[in-house]
Amino acid sequence: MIYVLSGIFIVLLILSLSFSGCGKTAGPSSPGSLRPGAAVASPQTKPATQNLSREEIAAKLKKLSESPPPKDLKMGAECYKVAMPPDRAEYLCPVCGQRTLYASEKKGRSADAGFIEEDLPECRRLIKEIKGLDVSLNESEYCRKCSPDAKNPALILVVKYQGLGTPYRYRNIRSEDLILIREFMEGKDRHRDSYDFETPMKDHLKRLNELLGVQ
Amino acid sequence: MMNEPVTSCLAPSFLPATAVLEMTYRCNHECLFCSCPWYSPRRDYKTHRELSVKEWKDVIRKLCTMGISSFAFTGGEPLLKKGIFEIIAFAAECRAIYIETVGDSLVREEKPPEIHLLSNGKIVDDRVLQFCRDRSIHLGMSLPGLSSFKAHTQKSEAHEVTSKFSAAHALGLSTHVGITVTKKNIHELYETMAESLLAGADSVLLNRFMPGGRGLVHAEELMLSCSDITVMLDTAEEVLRTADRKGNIGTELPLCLIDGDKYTHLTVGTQCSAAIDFFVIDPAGYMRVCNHSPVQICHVKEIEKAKDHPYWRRFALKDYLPSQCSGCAAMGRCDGGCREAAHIWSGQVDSPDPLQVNGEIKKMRLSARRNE
Repeated sequence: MIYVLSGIFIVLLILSLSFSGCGKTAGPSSPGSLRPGAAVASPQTKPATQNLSREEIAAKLKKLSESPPPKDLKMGAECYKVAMPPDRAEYLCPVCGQRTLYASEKKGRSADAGFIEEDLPECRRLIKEIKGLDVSLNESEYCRKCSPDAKNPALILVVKYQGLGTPYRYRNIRSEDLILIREFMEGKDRHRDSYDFETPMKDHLKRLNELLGVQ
Repeated sequence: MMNEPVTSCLAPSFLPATAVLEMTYRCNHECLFCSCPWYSPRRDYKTHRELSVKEWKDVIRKLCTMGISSFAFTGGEPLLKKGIFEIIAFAAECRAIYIETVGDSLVREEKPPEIHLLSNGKIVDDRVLQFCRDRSIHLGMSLPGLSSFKAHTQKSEAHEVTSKFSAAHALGLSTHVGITVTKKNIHELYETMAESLLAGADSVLLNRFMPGGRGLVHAEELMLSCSDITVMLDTAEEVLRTADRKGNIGTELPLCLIDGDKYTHLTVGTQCSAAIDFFVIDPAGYMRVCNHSPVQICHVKEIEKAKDHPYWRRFALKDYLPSQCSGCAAMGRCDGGCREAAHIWSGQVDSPDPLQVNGEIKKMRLSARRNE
């Protein structure tokens, strides 16, 4: 009887030890998963700056500024964008959903990269604001899946006119052009550029003719 | 014959380069401002069985083949995940595809991914720090205030985190401090930032409080006003300039709210990165566009389906500008604030940013705004 009870005790002891918690470790220096409360107790009990005036804190920060800034900073610019983004421009095709990557020049942005990152988002928004005209954008040249052989890609404005079977296309449209078209369709008598400089709309008739395929 | 530079190429997949992996729903804090959608009082976020260690390894392995070159491990509190170190160590040994510009050409290289661990710091100990140091893992820890720390977290004291920065610094480990700025801690933002930098944090990431998750319950007491935002930015710049250190504002702001030119040490984001620079996989494997979002796109097992999902496309193609931003000259540089916070607060992705609701923003417009 005693032996049976001892055996049961030993089994219970083994079972309790096996449920005591630590997960697998991965490698000799890995701690494995931590049990809550396993942290080493902190020697500090209050903030180091707690009893300092702001001037005194500023003096400490000034002293910190004399030390070299950290290297290889991992900077997050948005939310959890903790990593530095890869050095390239990225184009996402609205038709096929695939991503095409563009090189950025060392000393600045290439024409393609700059357009993709700065102008194209604005063009996508501006095209929706043009009323009274059936217009859309064809971005296919920027997508390496849709247009695998395209070189020097450009944005194309597509204008559909009633009664005309084939839409008119203007290649190499820019955001300024779309603003001009929008203002024209709104009946504005002047064009305001991105520097707030106004010029009479009639000064831009030639350009409008080119953009809209109207003579 | 010289090779032509490769100026463009198809990416390995439609996915952004950074994946945020939420290891567990659990946390050992109960932060008032927590935006994790599973803590929302609306109880509209479905939780499921958490992925196992093996399943996470399978996910990471697949993501590496799809062009993800950076992983951020978060939660909840990631250190509570059983097997977390096995998962992270596995990730650190993977081969990720990097396609970056070298000179004037895109160059492809395979090497281990960048790894980030984002913790509240409560159970970070010397072993964790050593683990991170040995694998060049960047560690971010949260410090939502000093005297207000406990009021925000409900559990701990600030020194339990600041001491970890000192220890990390002594080890040569790269760290950043994440400070969620609320109405309850903005009064000590200067001191909070100073304390963390003096303790050894390498950089600062400030996030204004955004309503979502548990934060919805406390929105009224935590939400910043437009003038608070200015105080936040100016204070941060003052600290960083004095210390000659760099910082960032996460959770993008409307451009018309800020005078970005006056900040030299602080980078202020004005554009949404969700589904563009990063995406999220929740503890059970469901994809979301960002960590604030309560919308589960699809399970990672069917990851290709995300590409054509209307909600994913809305963010990936930036089809969410608020109508009040129409005609603004900054349309190519600004997304009108945080789109997901707008969605949670006002019900639509193209709603105004929470800062701009109720006429608070008093129609600040850029001088080149048209249609007036």
